[in-house]
Amino acid sequence: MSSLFSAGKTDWSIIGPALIQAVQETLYMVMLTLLIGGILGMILGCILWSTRKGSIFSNPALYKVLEFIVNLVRPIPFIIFLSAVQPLTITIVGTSLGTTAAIFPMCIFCTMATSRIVEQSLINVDYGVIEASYAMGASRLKTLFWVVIPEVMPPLVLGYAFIFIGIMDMSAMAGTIGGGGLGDFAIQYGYNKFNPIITWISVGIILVIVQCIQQFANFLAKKLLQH
Amino acid sequence: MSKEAIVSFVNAKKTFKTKGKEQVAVRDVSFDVKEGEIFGIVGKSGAGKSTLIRLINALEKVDSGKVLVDGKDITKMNYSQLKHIRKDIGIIFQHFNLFDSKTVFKNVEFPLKIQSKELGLSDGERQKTVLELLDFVGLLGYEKHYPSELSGGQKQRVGIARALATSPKILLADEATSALDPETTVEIMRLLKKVNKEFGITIILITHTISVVRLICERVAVMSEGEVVELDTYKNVFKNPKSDAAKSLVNVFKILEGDGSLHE
Repeated sequence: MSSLFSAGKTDWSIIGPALIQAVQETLYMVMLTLLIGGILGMILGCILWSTRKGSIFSNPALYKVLEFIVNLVRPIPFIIFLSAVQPLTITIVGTSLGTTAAIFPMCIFCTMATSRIVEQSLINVDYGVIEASYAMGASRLKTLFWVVIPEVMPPLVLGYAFIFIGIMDMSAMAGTIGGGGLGDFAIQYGYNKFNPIITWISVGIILVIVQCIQQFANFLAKKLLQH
Repeated sequence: MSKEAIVSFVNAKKTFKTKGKEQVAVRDVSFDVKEGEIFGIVGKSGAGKSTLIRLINALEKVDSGKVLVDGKDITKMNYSQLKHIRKDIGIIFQHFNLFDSKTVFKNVEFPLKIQSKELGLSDGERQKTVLELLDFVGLLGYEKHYPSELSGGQKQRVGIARALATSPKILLADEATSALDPETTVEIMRLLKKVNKEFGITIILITHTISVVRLICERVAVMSEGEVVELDTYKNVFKNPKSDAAKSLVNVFKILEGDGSLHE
């Protein structure tokens, strides 16, 4: 009588509240990471772009150092990075367990990834508009904030949607250190209890969240691109 | 009637270093542009025209020599002095360099915002100025359009309105019509002539064709390999070119305009 689908019992009185909590934890981790890592990544990306050789704050030495750090962190598989920075997480957050503790390594990773995406977007700005801005008397900082960043808003919006999906991915792995969330939920109630329906429900919810964000980003980018 | 010099190059020199190689863009150039005139700088690509014109608003800095704008040496200015004087120097570009993410209105308003402290305009006055400028260049009603919705000629008109926003004394035109068709070129040149006449703005334009110079310039400097090899009224240069560079430019012009032909 035992088929794949009835291998685990789906007791909704337990699973229901756990699912709701998992969704909340995922959204909490993802949104906070997107906010903190997104802002820090924006700043780091702007510094990377503007310190490139020949750019507005050209400083090849600083650029090399920052680029080295970003390149050092980015290729590390997140799940390994998670345990590697554990001592630092304990120092800064006070604990290495739980949702809030998971956010710390997620933010570092998100900052690095975002900075690269921001830098790549900014590179595409035509030097002509920067020159035009200078010629009108704008300072370098005003040129960055009033001209360069507005010019790349559409690719930036799409870049952040891409980052968002990356953070969803990270949040699932963060579940392994007690971060909770949908990834953890899928493993605990689905995979470990041989209940694929639970896993599929998690997958479905993740897909819905990702699709909503992606569609919203597409809409926003299109709106911005209309000119 | 002797007019004052508004721009003076005094032994201006500019060298670029690319991959260890030194390339002289401007080699010991000295001449004056007089207030109120339309002055042309003509020469082949790579003759140093673009660099020379950028020395006037300090987008490029000289290695040695001086560049006097309205009597003040622009090469020794700090940022706030530069900002102040850039209010008096408008520039338009070959590829317009409009801000694609901003509407026509916002593009023209931009220099007014940058220079808001210097100008001290209220929001209402700023808006009035922008609309007057758009009216002047014939683009009233296009305030809410984005640059991508405009033709090349219209884009350059926006560029001109933007360059005139802070009521400059000098307008620099960097190959302003090189990306436009002949008909639009004439239109834009007519507009520049109007700018010169109505506001008395000195115009310094660079171009690689003598035909543009012929349309509106009184005097012209011929550049070759970073040097000014000839400087005279347009008429004299055209009738009696002395340097090889000038002869070549006039010759090419004649071939293109119908005096000559490549048919055997």
